[in-house]
Amino acid sequence: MQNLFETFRTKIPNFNADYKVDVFEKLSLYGGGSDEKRDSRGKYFETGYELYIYAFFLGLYRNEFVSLPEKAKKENFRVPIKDWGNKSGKLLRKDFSQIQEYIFSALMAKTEIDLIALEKGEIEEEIVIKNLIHQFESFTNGGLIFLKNKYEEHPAYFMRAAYLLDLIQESNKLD
Amino acid sequence: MIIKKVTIENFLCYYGIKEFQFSKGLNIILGENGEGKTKFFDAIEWLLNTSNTSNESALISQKALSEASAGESFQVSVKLTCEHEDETVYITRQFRVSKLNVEKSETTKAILDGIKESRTGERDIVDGKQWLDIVFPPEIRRYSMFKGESSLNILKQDASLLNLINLFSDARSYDKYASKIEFLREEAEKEVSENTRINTKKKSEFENLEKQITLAQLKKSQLEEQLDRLEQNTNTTIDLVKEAEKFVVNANALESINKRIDILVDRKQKNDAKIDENYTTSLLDDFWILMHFESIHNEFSKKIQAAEIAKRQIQQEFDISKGETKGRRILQAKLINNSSPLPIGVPNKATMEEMLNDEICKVCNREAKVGTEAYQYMENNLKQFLISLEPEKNVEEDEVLFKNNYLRSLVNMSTNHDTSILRFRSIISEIKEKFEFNKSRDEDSNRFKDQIDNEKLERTKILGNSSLGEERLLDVIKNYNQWQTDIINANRSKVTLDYQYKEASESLESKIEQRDKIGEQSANSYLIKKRDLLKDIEKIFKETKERKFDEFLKKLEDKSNEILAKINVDAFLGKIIFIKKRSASNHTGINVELVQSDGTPFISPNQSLETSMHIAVLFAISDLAAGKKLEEYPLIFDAPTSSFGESKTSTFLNLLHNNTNQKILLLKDFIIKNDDNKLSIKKEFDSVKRNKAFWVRLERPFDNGKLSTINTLVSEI
Amino acid sequence: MSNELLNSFLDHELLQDKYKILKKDLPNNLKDGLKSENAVINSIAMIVQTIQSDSNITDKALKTKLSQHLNEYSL
Repeated sequence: MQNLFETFRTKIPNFNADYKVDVFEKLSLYGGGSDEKRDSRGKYFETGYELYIYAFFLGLYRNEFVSLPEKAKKENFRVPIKDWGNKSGKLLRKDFSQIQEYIFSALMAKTEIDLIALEKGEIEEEIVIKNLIHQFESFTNGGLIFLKNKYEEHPAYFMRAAYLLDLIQESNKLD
Repeated sequence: MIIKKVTIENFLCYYGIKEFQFSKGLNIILGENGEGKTKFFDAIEWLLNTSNTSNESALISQKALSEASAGESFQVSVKLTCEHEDETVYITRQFRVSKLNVEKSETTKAILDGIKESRTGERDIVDGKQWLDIVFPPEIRRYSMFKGESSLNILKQDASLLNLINLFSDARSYDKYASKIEFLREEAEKEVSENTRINTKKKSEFENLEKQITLAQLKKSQLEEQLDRLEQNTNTTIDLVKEAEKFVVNANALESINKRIDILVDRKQKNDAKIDENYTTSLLDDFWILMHFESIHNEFSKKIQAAEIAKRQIQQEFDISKGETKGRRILQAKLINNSSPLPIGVPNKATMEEMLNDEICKVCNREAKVGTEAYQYMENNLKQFLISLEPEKNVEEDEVLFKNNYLRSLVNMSTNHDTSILRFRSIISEIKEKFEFNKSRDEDSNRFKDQIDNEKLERTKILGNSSLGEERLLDVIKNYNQWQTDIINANRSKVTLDYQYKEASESLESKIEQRDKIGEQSANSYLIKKRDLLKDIEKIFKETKERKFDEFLKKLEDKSNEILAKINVDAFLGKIIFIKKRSASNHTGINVELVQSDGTPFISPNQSLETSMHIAVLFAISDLAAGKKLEEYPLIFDAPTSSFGESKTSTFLNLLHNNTNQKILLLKDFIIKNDDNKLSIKKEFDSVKRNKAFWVRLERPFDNGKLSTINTLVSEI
Repeated sequence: MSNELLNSFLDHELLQDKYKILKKDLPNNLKDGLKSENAVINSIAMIVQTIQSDSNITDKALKTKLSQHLNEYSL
């Protein structure tokens, strides 16, 4: 059966390399992380793509859609979406690979797609996927910018265990 | 001997020459802490402790040192002026200080000088040390000077008490007689022995017996020693047990508190472990990040549904246009409001057949009787479905409008998510619950912490109340049981030893009897009579001595209680008793104890009571000695009544005034600080009866950091 | 002092029990004690007198004196 989702999850989305240090290394254990961070596992994301997911939802809920600039250097985690959330090997974590579906459905909701055209075969699957990924990257980018600004403003807030949770909770008020 | 004057020169805080003129009876020196009171005591001690080598430079008055100019020298000395048997004796301990320059000074070694002055005024230089020991013998000095309340418990050591009693009681006199007669009797025994040996026909038997007697005597004294040692050890253990008994209560309490603390700490740990603040991880692992997702899902499912409907509609229109040329296709009947019909097969065959059978549309609960439009519509649908199941025959190559079917999986996803979205509604409350749970655990944690802190405070109190540390307290409880066992074992050993001792004594006695019998038969009767006479006299002397000692002890006991009653006007209804113990080897020991009115021992008396007891005993001894016209000696106390409180001290002092023995007391009572920080003597002191009173205080202004400003002034009150 | 010592010694029940001397017949001073016919009494009196007059007397010297005394009184 033809399945957009299956094709979607084979892809690897990118992010602006500028945020590698400013956000990913500061708010996740990506790139090692200090001992201090290691000790407060609950506060930070363990992997870079987890933070990516978080930034996506942040951008999604807050409607912060910012396309990656043309000239921006792009980076990714070399992990395709289909592997995101797999428990394999992580002792204290749960499998959250289901989140892939929700990312996908959110993107489907937010992206302009002529589904009829797709069904008729008038447009290629690849194009649609490309659009979805672009949306993905843009919402995420918006989320990352938001995080970067927040961090520069109040880096101490991020020491609170519930801060990242709070940011998500507050994003509801914007609707 | 009484002390007529104490002169202190440039010693510690006493700058220049300061004098205290004392009289018989009660002399009181008042002083605030740190203003010269105890230094007075130290001065006298320095004078009397001629054995200790003094560190001279530490004793110099810093004020004197700073006021002296370079090249100048001055004296540091303490002089005691005593009246002894009609003569005046001056004992001075002194050394000289030469100031070389601002920083350096030299001192000579301290020397002890003595001068004896007769009634007529004739003065002779005498050996200081020798005469010090004459006027104030060392064994008396030990029991004459007491620094601080706790030093009074020297009387607890039974050797001290015995010494003291022997010093002052008249049983002393009988000592000499007892020992001399023993010698005489032994000599007489020897003479009889010798004589017997020479005269007896049973020579070998006699000599044999003599040998056996020697051996038996040896055995007997060995057993005596063993018994002695056993008793000492047992007593030590009993004392330990008594001490421990004070603490066992504490140790038990300590143990149970520690147990409680352990349980609480464990509970707290378990509680704290439940606190889960992995909020960030839960965002993904528990899908909390989807808390706001419902609206987005709705967007998605609307979009998919719209597309699906549109697809069907377009397909239908396409089919209609195609249907007119095909004819085989049974048109799907339009719906009354022109909306797109449901897909073929919805509802399924069984449902449709059922509805047709019952003549009712079971979706909207409306009748669909045979023949009605509704019935026909349903029938049509069923027909269409059945046809769609039949394989197509000779189907031409149809034009297919929709080549792809991405929508099917999208629709499936949407339907699946419809169910899971319901789960996400509870996320907010899930998070709230988690926060509340963590908050509760946190509150519990704090509660546990408070409880633990309280228990620890209790524990500190227990440890504070006992002067032992925690380790020792727990040690105590361990040892306590061991000691009890030791005592039981010791008592068993004692029974055995006692028996052996009795046997040895009896055997010795019988041997002596046998020997004496031979002696009786053969020795010179005169020698025998002499020996027997001396035996009788020995018995008389020894038993009289013992009796005198017991009489003194009784008098001492009565006198002590008399004095104690006056000191302790309040509360305590008990008394002091003296317990004489005679050990196997004839050593006498004396214990002084407090008992309650029913005779049971008084456990852990407070400090004030203990002090009262000791002072009562000391005074009783010196009272009785004075009564016997034995030599009197002064008693010097530094702060003996700190635990008494002022009013009891007053009573105590008035009591002391009653006997004429010389007493010098250093007290910090009766002094108050005015509003302007000036010290003065309380009015109450006027009513305290005394022979002499002094007040020592530091010259103001002074600076404790600059010793050169320190100068104690002495004034008579 | 000497009399006191003597009296306290003579107080002992041995004199009544063994020597059958009544209390009222006991001497109460040293002089009378020395004159007593009873060997125990006069010996005690002698010992007291000797030691009181010379408290540092050696054991040997005392022994000699005692022997002398006993000889005189012919036990």
